[in-house]
Amino acid sequence: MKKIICILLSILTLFTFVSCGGGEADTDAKKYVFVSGNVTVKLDDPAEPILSALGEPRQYSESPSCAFDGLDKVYVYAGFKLQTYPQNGKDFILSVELTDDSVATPEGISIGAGKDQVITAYGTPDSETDTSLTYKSDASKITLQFLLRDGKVTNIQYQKVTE
Amino acid sequence: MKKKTIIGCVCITLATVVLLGFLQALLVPKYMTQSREGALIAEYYLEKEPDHDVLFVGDCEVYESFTPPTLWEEYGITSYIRGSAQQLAWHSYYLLEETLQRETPKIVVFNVLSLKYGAPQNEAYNRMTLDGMKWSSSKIDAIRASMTDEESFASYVFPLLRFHSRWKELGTEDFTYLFSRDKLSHNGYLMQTRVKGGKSDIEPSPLADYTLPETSMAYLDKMRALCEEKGVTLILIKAPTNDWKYHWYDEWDEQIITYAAENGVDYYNFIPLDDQIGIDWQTDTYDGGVHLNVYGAEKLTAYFGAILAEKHGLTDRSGDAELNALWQEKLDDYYAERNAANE
Amino acid sequence: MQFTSLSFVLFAAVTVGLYYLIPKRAQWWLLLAASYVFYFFAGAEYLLFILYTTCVTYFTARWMQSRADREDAYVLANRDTMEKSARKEYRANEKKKRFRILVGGLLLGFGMLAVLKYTAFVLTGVNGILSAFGASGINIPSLLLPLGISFYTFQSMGYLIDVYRKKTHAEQNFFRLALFVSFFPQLVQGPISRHSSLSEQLFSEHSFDGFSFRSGLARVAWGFFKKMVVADTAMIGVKGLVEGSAFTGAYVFVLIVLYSIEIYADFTGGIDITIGLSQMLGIKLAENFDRPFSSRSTKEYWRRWHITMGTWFTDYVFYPLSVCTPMQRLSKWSRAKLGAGLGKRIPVYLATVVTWFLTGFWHGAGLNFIVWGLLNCLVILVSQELQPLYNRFGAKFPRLVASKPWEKWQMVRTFLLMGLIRSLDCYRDVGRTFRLWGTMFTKFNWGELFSGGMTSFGLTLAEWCVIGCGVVLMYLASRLGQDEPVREKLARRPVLLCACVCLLVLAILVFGAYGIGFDASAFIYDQF
Repeated sequence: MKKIICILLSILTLFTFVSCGGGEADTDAKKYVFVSGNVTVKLDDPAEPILSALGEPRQYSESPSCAFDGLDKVYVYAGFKLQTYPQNGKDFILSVELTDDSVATPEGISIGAGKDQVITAYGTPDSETDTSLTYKSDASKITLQFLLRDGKVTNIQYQKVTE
Repeated sequence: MKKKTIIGCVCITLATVVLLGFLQALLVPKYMTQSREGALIAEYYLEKEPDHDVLFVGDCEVYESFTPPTLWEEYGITSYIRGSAQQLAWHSYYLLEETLQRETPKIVVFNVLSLKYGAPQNEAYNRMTLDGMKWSSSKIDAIRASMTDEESFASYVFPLLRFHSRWKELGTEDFTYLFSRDKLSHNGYLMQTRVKGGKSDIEPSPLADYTLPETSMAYLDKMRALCEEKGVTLILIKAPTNDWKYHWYDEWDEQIITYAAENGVDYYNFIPLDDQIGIDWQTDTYDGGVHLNVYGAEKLTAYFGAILAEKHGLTDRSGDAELNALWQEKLDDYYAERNAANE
Repeated sequence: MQFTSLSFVLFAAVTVGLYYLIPKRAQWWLLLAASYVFYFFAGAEYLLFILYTTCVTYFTARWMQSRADREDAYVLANRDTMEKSARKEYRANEKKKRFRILVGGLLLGFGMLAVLKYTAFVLTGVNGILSAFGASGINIPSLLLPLGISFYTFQSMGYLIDVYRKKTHAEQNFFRLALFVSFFPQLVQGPISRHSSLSEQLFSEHSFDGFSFRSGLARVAWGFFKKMVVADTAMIGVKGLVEGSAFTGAYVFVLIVLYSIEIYADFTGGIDITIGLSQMLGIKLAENFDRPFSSRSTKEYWRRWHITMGTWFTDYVFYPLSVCTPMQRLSKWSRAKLGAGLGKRIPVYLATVVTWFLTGFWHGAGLNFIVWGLLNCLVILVSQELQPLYNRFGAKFPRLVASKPWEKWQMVRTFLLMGLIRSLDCYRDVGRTFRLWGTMFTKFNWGELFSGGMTSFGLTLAEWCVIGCGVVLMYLASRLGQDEPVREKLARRPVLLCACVCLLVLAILVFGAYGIGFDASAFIYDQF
């Protein structure tokens, strides 16, 4: 009987060592980022380097929050719009909105694409209504939303979930 | 145990409780120079025998858009604003419930912007609204309805539990206002005298769903029912703004119009009326079009006062000597602050 | 319901109050009810798991006990007729049968732990192998890990082995055993108690004893202070250091020290709450720590840190493994083939390695924990091998070795070495940990720490001061309590004790890293 225990222990030992060589499972499957030229825009990242890489915006506006310092800012570029939020004196990316078909998501979807194309590119959405398809990132920190009219994409928004 | 021991322990425990009370008073934010909006709710209780014709409830769009002194000066209408930063529909409902226990105004005015929020948004705003309320069943219900996941009821009973870590950032304000506060508002109106004009031409982002959340609409309905029960007229308004962040979508407006029509409530959307009111977005806003400054607020108040007097039959009470004396004092304070900014 | 929540404080206060109000024979029933209420609030579904372990333990122990009783009765009845050799054979035979029951019980008990805790780990490994061969992986189910499962499983299985070894008598009353398994103060993070010492206390009647109540109360307050003020504040910095990718070189050193402070305050604080609360109920639990950071060697450290886990592994893994038949055969073989010196060592070393491997694995299903266990083992074995060298050094410099500074140096060395290995627990990723250790030799720069570096990973100067004061207080308490714990000295002077407890409460309420702005943190050992 004691042999059994010894054998069990050795098997357990072997097994775990084998598993150590196995490598890690891919857990980063669902991360939504927007890419403009060679600039990657990731939500929640510090805004400063991204904004300077994107260059001068076509339009800019800022808006305060009630009772607190710091400004929400919006930058409009050709084909997309970027919003930032302030935290501890620094700005971070809050959302990216694709506004016309001159730009596309890295997965190849742009405004005017069909609903089927979105599903082919992104898989089954996490939630779906008549007017939208919504995808959530793994940690549910980011949503990617496609607004639809007559089965066609009319607007694409990457948003940080604020709750 | 010896008697002496017991007395010693009781004394020490009592001293600790007193010390905790002191620490709590020291550590809670005073909202006197920063985030002054947090001081608004508590100021209502300074009103002796509150008696107002009009009660405003809502978010920043009421306490920055209407000036009760102007309403008195021009129309002899008494009013008070129970509003605070990002005051959500349920905050407004419970504040209304509480206020109606203390007085019965003729008209309640509710600003509809907050109906777009169906869930608690930000703990800091919760605190600014709720901490100022006196304890009552309304406050308890308000806390329950408002808490975000990270909050606890105990922290409202003992704010020390929430603000204890402020020991790291104590400033002179915390010592100056340890036991007393200045009065910052004019019957709930928080004066802003800066001028920072601007008209945003940023296109607002489309939404996937324009339906106003059921939760907030349910509280609107509760407000309506409560007003009906108390025999108070409810008026819905949407203050004028000009900003991409707080954009008021037409689809939302239609829902409010429908609600108002179905329930026999008057609704005034002042956004398209800005020209008529005389608002100049270059001079009448202090933050680039999000909120009105005192000059804009006076114009809007004058415009709305006419509606209240003509359409809703509020009479001029300036003939009442006692009221006049009381309001003269308020007007003096008001103009003192307004003029100080101009010098 | 976390230990550091207001609801737990209220819950504990009500339980303690009721405990002394109800009839004494009902006291243990109250504890059982309280334990299940406590566990229910941790997660209603967890109750099923603890009930399973309780049932497995109860019935396995009863079965072994009834066989043992029958065996004794048989031997007694046939005392005169049975020859000594026949009796011996009969007993050996019976023992074998009981051993089979034991193994069944252990498999069932540890089986659940293994499935819940290690499935994902093992499947990840399997998937790795499968993908290497181009096959598709198995879906990894997300299983819930009931609170404190490692602790109550180990305590229950230890009890089974004790019953098998006839060191304790199997509990007849199911509910009593249920309390032994679930006693709420120690449910989530130990100490791992032995049935022989705990059961007597759980089920005897307790009258209110002012001294031990006061001493227990002071210990609870001290535990909360350590956990909420020191550990949770230190955690902010540890988290920042682990999450940031730029914190290499000297920052790794800071992490090692800071995490040592955090885990010490966290774990000993939690144990103080557990033991103090039990003491308030008149129940004395085994100590789990004995000033571990004053250890002068790794071996000594492990006698002083998480003592009940160490003795558990020694008694139930190391010892039986060293004397089991295959091991003895190995010993014989190695002595014959490799000579006495090496031959003697091989079985002991093998048993040590296995024990440490399992210790690491018990802490968590991850490569980092296994490497952590094996590195501890390596340090112990190497220092054992180097012992003759130390002895020679000692003989050459007897005055140096006996001096205070030398003693301090040994303590610092052990502290840093243990801290270094423990950092595997923070960084989690073994490769990253080794790389970061490397940067301590390649990129070490004190300067960057003092040009704003110390406040660059989440801790403000004010918070560093809190940690510093906490460390000084913990050091003083440890120094002053060398002969008799401070709380007991204080317990004799109730007014002073009351003042100290009030001060601690004030310090916790103001300086504690709790509430909004701080991430609510579970005790580190709850996860194991």
